Amino acid sequence: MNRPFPIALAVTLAAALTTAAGSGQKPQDWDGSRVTPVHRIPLKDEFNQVIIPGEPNPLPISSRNTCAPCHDYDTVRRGLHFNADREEAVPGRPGEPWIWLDETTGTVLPLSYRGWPGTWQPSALGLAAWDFTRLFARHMTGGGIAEPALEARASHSRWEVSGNLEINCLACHNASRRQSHSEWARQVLRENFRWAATAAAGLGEVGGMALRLPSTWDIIDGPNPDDSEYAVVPTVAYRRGDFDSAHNVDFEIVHRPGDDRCLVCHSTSPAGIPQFSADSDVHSSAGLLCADCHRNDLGHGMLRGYEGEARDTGRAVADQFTCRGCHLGFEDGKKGGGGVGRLGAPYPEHKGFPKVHFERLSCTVCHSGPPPAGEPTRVRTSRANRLGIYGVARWDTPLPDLLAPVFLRREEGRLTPHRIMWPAFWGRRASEGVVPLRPDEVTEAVGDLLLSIERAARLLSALALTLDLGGEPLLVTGGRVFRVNMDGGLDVEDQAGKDLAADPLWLVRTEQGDVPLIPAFVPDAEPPDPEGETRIQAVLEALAAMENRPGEPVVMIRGGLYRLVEGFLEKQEAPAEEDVPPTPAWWRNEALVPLISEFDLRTIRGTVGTPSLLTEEQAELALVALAGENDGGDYVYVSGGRMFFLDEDGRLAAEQNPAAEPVSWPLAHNVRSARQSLGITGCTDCHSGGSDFFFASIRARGPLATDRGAVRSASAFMGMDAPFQRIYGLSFLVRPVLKWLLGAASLLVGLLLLTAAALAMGRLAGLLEKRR
Amino acid sequence: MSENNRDKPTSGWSRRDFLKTTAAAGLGAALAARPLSGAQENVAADELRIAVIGAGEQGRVLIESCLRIPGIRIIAVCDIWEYSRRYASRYLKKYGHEVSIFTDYRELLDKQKGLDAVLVATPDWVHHEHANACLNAGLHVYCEKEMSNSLERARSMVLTARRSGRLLQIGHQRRSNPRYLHAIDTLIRERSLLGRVNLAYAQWNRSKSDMRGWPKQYVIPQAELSRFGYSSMTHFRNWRWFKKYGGGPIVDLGSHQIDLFSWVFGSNPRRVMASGGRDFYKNREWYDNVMCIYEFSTPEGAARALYQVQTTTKHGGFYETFMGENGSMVLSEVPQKGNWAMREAHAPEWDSLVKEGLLLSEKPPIQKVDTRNVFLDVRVTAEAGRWPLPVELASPAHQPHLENFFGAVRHGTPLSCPAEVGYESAVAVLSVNDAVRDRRQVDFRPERFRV
Repeated sequence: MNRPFPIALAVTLAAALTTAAGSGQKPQDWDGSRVTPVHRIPLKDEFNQVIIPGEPNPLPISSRNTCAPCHDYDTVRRGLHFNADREEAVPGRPGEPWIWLDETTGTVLPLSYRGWPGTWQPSALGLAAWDFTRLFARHMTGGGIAEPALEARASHSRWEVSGNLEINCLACHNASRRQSHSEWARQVLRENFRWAATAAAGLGEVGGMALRLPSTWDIIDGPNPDDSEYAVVPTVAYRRGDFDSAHNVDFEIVHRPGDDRCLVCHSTSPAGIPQFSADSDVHSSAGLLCADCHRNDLGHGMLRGYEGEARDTGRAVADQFTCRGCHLGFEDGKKGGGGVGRLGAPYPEHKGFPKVHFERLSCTVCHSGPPPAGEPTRVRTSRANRLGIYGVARWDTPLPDLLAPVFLRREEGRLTPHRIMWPAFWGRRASEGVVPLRPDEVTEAVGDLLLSIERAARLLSALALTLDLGGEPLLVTGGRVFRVNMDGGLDVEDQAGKDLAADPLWLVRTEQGDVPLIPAFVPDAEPPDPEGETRIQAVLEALAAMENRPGEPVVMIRGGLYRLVEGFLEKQEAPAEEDVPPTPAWWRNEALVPLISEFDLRTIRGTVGTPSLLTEEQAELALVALAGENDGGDYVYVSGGRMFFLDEDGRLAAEQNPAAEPVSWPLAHNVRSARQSLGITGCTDCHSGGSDFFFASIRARGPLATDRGAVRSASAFMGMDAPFQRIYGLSFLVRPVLKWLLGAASLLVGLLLLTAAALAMGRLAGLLEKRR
Repeated sequence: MSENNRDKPTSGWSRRDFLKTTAAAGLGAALAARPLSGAQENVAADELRIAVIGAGEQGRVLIESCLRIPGIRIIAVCDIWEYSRRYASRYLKKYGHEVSIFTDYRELLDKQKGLDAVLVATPDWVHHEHANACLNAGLHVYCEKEMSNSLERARSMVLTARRSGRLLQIGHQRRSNPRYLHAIDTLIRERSLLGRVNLAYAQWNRSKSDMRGWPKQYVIPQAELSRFGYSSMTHFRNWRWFKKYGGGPIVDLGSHQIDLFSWVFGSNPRRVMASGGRDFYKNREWYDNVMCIYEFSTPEGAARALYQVQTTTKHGGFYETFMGENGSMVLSEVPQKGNWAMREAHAPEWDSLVKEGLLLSEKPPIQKVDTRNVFLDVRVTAEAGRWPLPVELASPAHQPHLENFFGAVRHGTPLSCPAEVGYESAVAVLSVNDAVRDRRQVDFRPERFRV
């Protein structure tokens, strides 16, 4: 029996635990039981008081005080999910950055506190811990940056009101079906930081909104008896049935979180496919949990499972939880017929594969992520695209565009599949490169230039909310129908078979079909048409109720101009063309202004229903505004792998720039089955004259609608010579023939040799006979 | 009625200055854009160095407003409760104010050098003790209302202020609120918008609420509580409900609004009758509901004001209404609850006030009737519309009152609510409790309002 292995493993694990737990901490020795202890424990609030649900205004739970008596909070705080802001944190291999998406300005900026290449430090953009937490708390685990020290609190922060976003232990370890990430997101967006964990765990209902409280409110003040409608103080109504007579709660705590808990933040799926056709990771299908491989001790130093992690972190055990660690064994090369890895992982034979593949490729090249295609697959991830949050409105976003796989060479020299994203941002050219502008800086400078869709949606919403139309108002332009969606944006549909009398048209969708917003109307008809006038008045009142409207609402009909004068409908002569449909408009400076401008219509037609958010016209005007509003500096917009700027003629020009290069991070999942690996059907999976592996076309996409985006081949990302690879790939077409020729030649030579040998034997036999 | 600056501009700002700044919604933007003062970057030559005694809920409100006012540096905080001391010092540190922390105000006055003024935001029953000590130490004082829960103590504050020659501002902050100044001084009193005003109504109704608790780790030891005069943490945290320390809801809430009655009518009341009781909260000492009627003698004749405070229903919330022959006006410290006038049909036209920028015009709601004759009288005015007031206040409600105080300290401009005015208000408000207790009408002689 081979005893040294278990002993070595035990020693290694013990060393890892000791290292991760850190010096000076409580001993965290495992007693050997594989049972998950029952957690029937009292809940404690941030003042370390036992929560008694029947008491007036009980406070929310504090993990620092509820969990920490047994699980040292500061030890947990050093873990991978909470330590990005700590100086001693090892950055490790780049992972998915936080992506700051602002759809109004077309900003898609990768951020990270870990200094990963291609990302921006939040502080470099002027984002304090408060700002970062408000942006990303929806997918944060709490702790770390969300619990800043006193000296790190920006003066505009509201931590005193919101409370800290403590480490949310229950987000991973609560196995209850009540655990809701959507509730977490809802609470943190209300700035109910200290209440979020309680609500998300389903321990009680949390009402109120810290976001609206005055900055002088403090948790000991309790509810405000003067306001139960707007600035409502968050309170918890605990589920009393969960508490026993000693105020203990039975938690369904698990040591190894279920996959759903991990996937809340770590889902990745191809974009635009139905759920039933999405495969899961082969390991998951085989019954493994994420936590089976991505293990951690109390220090929550999660094993990430990449090659080189042991080197980066100094934790030797990490080598056992890589692809090679499990499938080839810990000491590759000693196994003969099969390795001794973790979890009964099958030993791959890789028969016929030249050894060079294992030296130059990571395992994930052939086994992980979407298979290579003519263009990389667009994927969406939880944190980037706000997945997994469900409510009446859509929370997820089509942007940012993430592509996978894109094969890049990492430090170890091995090709590795990556996800990449092309950044997009407004910036200022400086000596150190392009410095991004925050979205608020952009909107301050460009005003409402980028709000075309919002303007149209507000118009339609005003008509829908204020006007009793008996239907839904629609905007028709460019042969397509635009309608307001629940998120305050616009949806588009083709308008089939409509012969446009004018563009734009304002319609109302009724059960009888789409009818004009203002029906055909003869002003001087006898007898008069009260329905027509009533509708005109309703439209005018609806438009008059809009905030920040550009003028007085009027309706123009066959030379007549209808307007509201002190609440009464008045008709005046107007400089209107004959035989135009009834048209609502604005009256400003004694002139008619269209209800929606041509510029807005162009923008709507150019962006709604497309992956783009901005037109080149908008970009050009915004760059002019930025330069004019600020110091005449050199402002640019980065999108689609290009940097856009105003040339000497003031026209939009584009060029390559390092700031426009994509940010990338290696992917590991989903691992495909061996039968779905690259190379399973032969060398030509990759080595052919036009394989997707080497020659996929990778087109940069961004918020800007442009045909000037970057296009690059897969081999360019690999740093390989494409013509050589094409010729080398073509060689695989003739290799079978060569093999046959070689075989035939070998056979022929063999036959000749055999004949020669037979002849020689005959001669030898003749000589011997002669001598005898 | 004592001389005060009700009819004078405050803080060196004239009403027209305010209107110029605010009428086009500019003030909101201007004040909203002003950041809370940060570290030392904006130290003005006339920087005032102040201390805060009492850093509880109201102290925090004053501190937050002070941070928005240029040239104000908080250098010391005093509170008998460790929780409040810790909170205030941490909060101020965020804005770059390093403060000395004291538990006892005597120690503060003894050790803290370089003070110009003190903000007193302690419970009512010790206002006189803290304010008088500061005044005697040569410091100007901003003291939260109510001046005191005892007229004798309030009187001592007036006398001490006079004797010391220091300023004593009482925290009836509506007196400096530009919206109230515009509504009462300009529209009601100067322009007689409402004509003769003979009735006022105000209320502060709030939902029932539990007694306040406290984190157990911040319990003040009983000996320490006793040293400062509190019998228990319950009393300390809920002092407003106990007779030794406060004046009950009619004082805590009603005092703000009852003070306005005198401002609008231009006189102190001549009598008050009241009814109330401890009908709901059996574990509290003060009346949880009070209704009272004041009578005033104005140059134009008698006027009356009805007031109620309820602590078990928030129906209607809090607002003040002034009713005159030509219209009425609804005000509230929260503009959404009251910031408009309503015109009687027979009243002189108000359009000229709109043109002057003193009022905003609001279209009357239209009611349609079912008729085919669309060009004739098919639409009628259903009810009088509201005429919103054009003045906004985007800063915290207490900020203008503090600015008025600091302006007086720096430049000698008049206080909005000096001790004498605060005393008059205290007389009117505290008497309601007497009327409830004794079930009798309380008559005021004019000299009762004088110190």
